[in-house]
Amino acid sequence: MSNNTTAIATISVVGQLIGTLGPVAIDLALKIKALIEQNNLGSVDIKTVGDSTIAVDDAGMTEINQWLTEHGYDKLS
Amino acid sequence: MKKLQKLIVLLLLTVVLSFTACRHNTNVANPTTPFQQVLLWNKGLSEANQDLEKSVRALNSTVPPVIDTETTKNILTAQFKIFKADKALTKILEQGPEYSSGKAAEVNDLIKEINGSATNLVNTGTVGIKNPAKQQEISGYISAISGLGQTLVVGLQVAGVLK
Repeated sequence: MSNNTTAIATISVVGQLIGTLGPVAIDLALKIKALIEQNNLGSVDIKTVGDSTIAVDDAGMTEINQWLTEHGYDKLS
Repeated sequence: MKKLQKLIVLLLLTVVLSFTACRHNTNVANPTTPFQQVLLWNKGLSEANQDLEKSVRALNSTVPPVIDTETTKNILTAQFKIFKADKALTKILEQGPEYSSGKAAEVNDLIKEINGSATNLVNTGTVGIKNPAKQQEISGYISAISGLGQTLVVGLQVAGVLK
């Protein structure tokens, strides 16, 4: 299967998803598409990708604990 | 709603399988490996979890709240578990495939934890949301997280980390 065939198949499936789920799927589909395009660029530095993922995880946990505290709940650890 | 969830899982598995079946790349000198793909999917899972977390908090902050406080707390608690397990998983994976294979049991446990929390969200995450459009929106994010979690398992098996 060539790169073009794969890309066409991917776009087709993503398009079906967008049509089914509406606006929220567009954001998710674009993120998945961006991941696919990064994949196609060649070598992926796993440490760089890993560190950026950990940053997202840390930010998410911080935001959740902030919400919990603001609403009178104990923080999670 | 289950039909839509199945569609998302099918989408993600289709994309993963299409890449594992056809690993040709425009950059012949540096072909992307299945293990590298796993790191990308893992990043996607974390970002989807963050998008959901922001949406849930936003829907709780409206007047009146679209998602009540108790439901918000339950969803965010499950998401915290996903973030926490994903952080521990990522710290292993970013050390490389050989290191990750040596930690296969721990990797397996962490993915089970992620997928367990995701399943919990699938089953209960939208229970307290009465607005059908917002319920579908939240359900979409949850399904993506669940689908990506299952994709990680497949990807790590293809990469030889999990048996």
